[in-house]
Amino acid sequence: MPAELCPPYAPFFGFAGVASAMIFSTVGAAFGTAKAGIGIAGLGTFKPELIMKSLVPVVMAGIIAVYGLVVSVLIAGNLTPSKGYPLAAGFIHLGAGISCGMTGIAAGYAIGLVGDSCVRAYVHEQRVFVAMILILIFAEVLGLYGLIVALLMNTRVTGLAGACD
Amino acid sequence: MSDQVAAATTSEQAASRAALMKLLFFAATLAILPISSYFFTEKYVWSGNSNYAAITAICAANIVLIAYIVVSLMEDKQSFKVAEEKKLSETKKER
Repeated sequence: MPAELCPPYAPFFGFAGVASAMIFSTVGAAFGTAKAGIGIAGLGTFKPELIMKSLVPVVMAGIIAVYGLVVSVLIAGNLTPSKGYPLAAGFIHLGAGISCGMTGIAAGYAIGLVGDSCVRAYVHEQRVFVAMILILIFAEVLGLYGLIVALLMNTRVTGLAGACD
Repeated sequence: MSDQVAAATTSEQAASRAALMKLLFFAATLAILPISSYFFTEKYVWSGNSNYAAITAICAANIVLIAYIVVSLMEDKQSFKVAEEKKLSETKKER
């Protein structure tokens, strides 16, 4: 029975979860940074003094990547391929990594589009800044939800500790 | 006249260098603080519980974000005051 529960290919899924958390959240953060950066370059030609404030979407896109990094480190810290690693734990880690990564893509996409258009509007109307911050916070929280689900899933792995003995 | 222009460009250079230093500081903090707080608190504060350490790292990242927004708002108020003083001094000179 333990040999069925802990096959040798189980760490594949665990490490795939680690990789997917980092890869997908970085894709979202890169899209957000690039799209917002296009708008900031447009703003910079007209009003260079507003650049410091208009870099907020870029910082928020960077935080999406930090979410992915933290989940990757968290899952990798719980991986024990040498001590007997249940297949169920591998699936849980894969699900946690994918949930954090894909929500990072969603959040980064929203941050990119909102950052681009709001930063361009900020050239003409100063009061757009507060609205931009609010919309960006709502977009960022999407990535945070994925991270919370990943954390919740990761706590289930500790219950499987003795399955391989 | 050329002295005033030279003074203006050096103050502009100083301002842009200060802005660049601020941006570099925030970029470094965003890269280093969350992951270091994860490892530090996992080892010394939460005695091995990695979920609490992850929550700590996320709180650290969001604190960096809030600090950046506050700093950019304060800088905006400062540059607004400087621009107003400039306008006042220019109108006084024209008289």
